Amino acid sequence: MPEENKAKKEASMLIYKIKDTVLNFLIPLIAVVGTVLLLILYIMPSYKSLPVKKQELQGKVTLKNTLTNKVSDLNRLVDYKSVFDENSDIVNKVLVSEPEVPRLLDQASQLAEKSGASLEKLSFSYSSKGNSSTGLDTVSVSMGINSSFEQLILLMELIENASRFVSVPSFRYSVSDKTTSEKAAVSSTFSVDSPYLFVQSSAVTDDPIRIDVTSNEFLDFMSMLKGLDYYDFINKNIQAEEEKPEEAKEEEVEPVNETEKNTNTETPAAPTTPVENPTPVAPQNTDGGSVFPTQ
Amino acid sequence: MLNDINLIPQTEVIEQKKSKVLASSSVFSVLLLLIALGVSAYFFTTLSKVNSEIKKTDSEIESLRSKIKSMSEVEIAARNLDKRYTALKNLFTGRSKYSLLLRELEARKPSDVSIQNSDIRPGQISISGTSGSYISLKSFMDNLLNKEFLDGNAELKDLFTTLSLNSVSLDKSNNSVKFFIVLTYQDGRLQGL
Repeated sequence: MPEENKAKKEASMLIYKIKDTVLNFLIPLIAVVGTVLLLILYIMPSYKSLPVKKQELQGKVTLKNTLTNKVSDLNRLVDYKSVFDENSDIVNKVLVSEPEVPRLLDQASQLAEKSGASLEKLSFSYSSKGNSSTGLDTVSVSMGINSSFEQLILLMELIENASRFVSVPSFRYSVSDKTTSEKAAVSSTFSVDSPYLFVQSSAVTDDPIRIDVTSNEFLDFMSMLKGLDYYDFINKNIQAEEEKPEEAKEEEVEPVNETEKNTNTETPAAPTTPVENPTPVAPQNTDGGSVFPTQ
Repeated sequence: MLNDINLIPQTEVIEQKKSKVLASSSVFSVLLLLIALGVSAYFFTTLSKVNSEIKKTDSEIESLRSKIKSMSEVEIAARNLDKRYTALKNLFTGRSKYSLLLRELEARKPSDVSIQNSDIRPGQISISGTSGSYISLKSFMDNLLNKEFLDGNAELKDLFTTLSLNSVSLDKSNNSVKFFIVLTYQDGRLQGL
């Protein structure tokens, strides 16, 4: 019996030791190793990749929204196709794709005729993007005009209202002696710049379409374009000399007027600024109808 | 006093402390493992959710792209219109309306002042002409710089900014005053009107 008890006691001691080892050594070891492995193999990579994934998702959501808006914009354009086509036609007439020089010359001629001025000179030249005032490829039509002052103003208004976009970068005019009709004859020279823009876009699926054909800004602008005067191409055989750009530049550098050259009894005056203008002005009274100041 | 007497042998006390420390370290390591498992589960679910959303968004994007591609002609036309529209807007807003300038000059010119030559450039005008008297010339110059001038275009009251009388001379043959002035103006005021 004592031997049996001893064996039982030894067995229970062994079980206790095994249990003790498992509880106090194996489980903590497994737990620590498991924790370290989780940290290194999963938690850290996940921690690093989560913001990247979120950013990727954000980017895709933004792209999806852009594309959704684009689809609705395109659908709207399809719905308003007739208006869209009409607007495209108008814009193409105002800003042409090609120089179309004869048509422009004809428009210039018609503008002069409509204003009542007489067109004395008509020539044209080309200027590239970098050299033109418009920043686009441009055809410049040089015009020499004889008219009255009112006709000159009317011509300017017609130019500003012409359907094919034209602008006058600078101009000069001189008034000659009175004509038979007692109206001063104004001789003016200026160039009329008409830019042209060849556009060939391609479909870029992921890029939004910026134009909103239903916006007030666009509609107002289009109604302004619709109000411009359209000139039919009447004189298809119109002829004009082509000027080289160098010639045009030389012409621009020419002296402004002859008055500056006249040194006869000239009294130079200092430059003046607004309000405090110390110009040599006489008292208002004139003596015996004289135009000169009395002392 | 009886409470203070500890009959447990010292070696047994040390043994008990050891086993307590071992037990608590076991509990601590298991807790750490549980926390790590919890954090892993959080990352797993979050990443799975994000990944599934990315997949879903990708499929939606592809669907939208195919819709857009089917309307590529409309898109090209819209882009062409946009380019021309933008260019035209810039051209129209940057164009100076010289008709307004000429009218304003004429409105501010006294009747016995006549302009004989004028060179108009963006921001600057050179004018030469004759005046019936010095007074008229002075009046013309004052009118040009008068920001309260009433007879002109109300929107162009402050169009002209500086004036320089470069020369003035008396023409005795016809009792007139010849002048040459250089006038600067705000080009922007003539644009977009």
